[in-house]
Amino acid sequence: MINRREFLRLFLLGGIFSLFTKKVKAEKKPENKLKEAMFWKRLD
Amino acid sequence: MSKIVQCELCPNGCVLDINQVSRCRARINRDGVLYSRVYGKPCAVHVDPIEKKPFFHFLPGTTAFSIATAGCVLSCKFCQNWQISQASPEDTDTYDLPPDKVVKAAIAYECKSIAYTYTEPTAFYEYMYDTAVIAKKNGIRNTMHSCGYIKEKPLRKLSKYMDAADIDLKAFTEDFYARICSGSLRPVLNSLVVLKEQGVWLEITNLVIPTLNDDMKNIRGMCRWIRRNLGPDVPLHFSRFFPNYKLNNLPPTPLETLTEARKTAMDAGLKFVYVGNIRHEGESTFCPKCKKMLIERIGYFVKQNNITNGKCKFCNTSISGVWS
Repeated sequence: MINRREFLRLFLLGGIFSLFTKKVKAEKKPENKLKEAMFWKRLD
Repeated sequence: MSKIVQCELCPNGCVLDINQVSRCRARINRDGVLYSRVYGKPCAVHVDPIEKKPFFHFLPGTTAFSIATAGCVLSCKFCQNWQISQASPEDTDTYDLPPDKVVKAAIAYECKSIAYTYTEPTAFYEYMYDTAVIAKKNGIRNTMHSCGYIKEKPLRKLSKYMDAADIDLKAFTEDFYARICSGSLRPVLNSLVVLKEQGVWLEITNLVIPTLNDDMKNIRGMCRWIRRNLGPDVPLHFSRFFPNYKLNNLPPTPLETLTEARKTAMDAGLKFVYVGNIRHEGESTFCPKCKKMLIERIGYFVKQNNITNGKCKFCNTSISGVWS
């Protein structure tokens, strides 16, 4: 078990450490490009 | 001008209004143009033994880079892969794997072939076709496990690049196809004849389901049709059924039924008849002339191979297949 003081110290250390780490940007998944089908016809 | 389209790929011939999705779930009408929704988006990618497809006379002991997308042109009540075959593409986790990357991956994993399998490759025809063209250029063979429910024109176009096909002949009655698969038998028989005529290496799989298609009279009729129309050298696999999907009320196929089906097929003149999904001597290949064991298999594993240059090592009889 860790006491409140130790928790606070770790919490702050983690916060400071995260400032120096590389940031990864969340990318939006590109929308699926549809491929035209090979065998079809238009009905008139 | 009308924006209603008709798909001409399989016998379902879906007629689709704008934004309607085909029965196979893999096609959509967008503003009067039919599109594939699954191109380059497989939901299953594995390296499998070729024996798993099953191909027993096609490059035995090699591996196949196997892919599938969501969707199927039939809706069989016994489907073993219903979680993906009866799913919409948006309901599956997919990989981003365009045709050139499939071929690169197959080469990287030292696979001799690519298998279009698990679901129904007709549903992802464009993806399969484009991949097959690139694979052929790179010396990788193409194989498919299909229900054969496809129109003749697209099948002939595909045949130029397809090296081997394992076709599910699910039963030999129109009634079974209509009631259990929501399809019909005739187009499947036609596909078998076209594939044979086009020089694609052909094997046939028949899943034997207790009470539904295990009547020996029908099995005999099916085997005679195969012999007459495709020849006695086409390997036939009788596969054991296990309760699944909508057919959970039936028992697994008894061993005796499979053994009897195999004997019936051999009596009808078929030379290579196998039994699958169960440990059985019918997993191995025997020389039709000297009766010695040529390829010993345990499951998907090839234990010994006594075929040299396509011939029986013991009596020099030619064995049909693609061996190298």
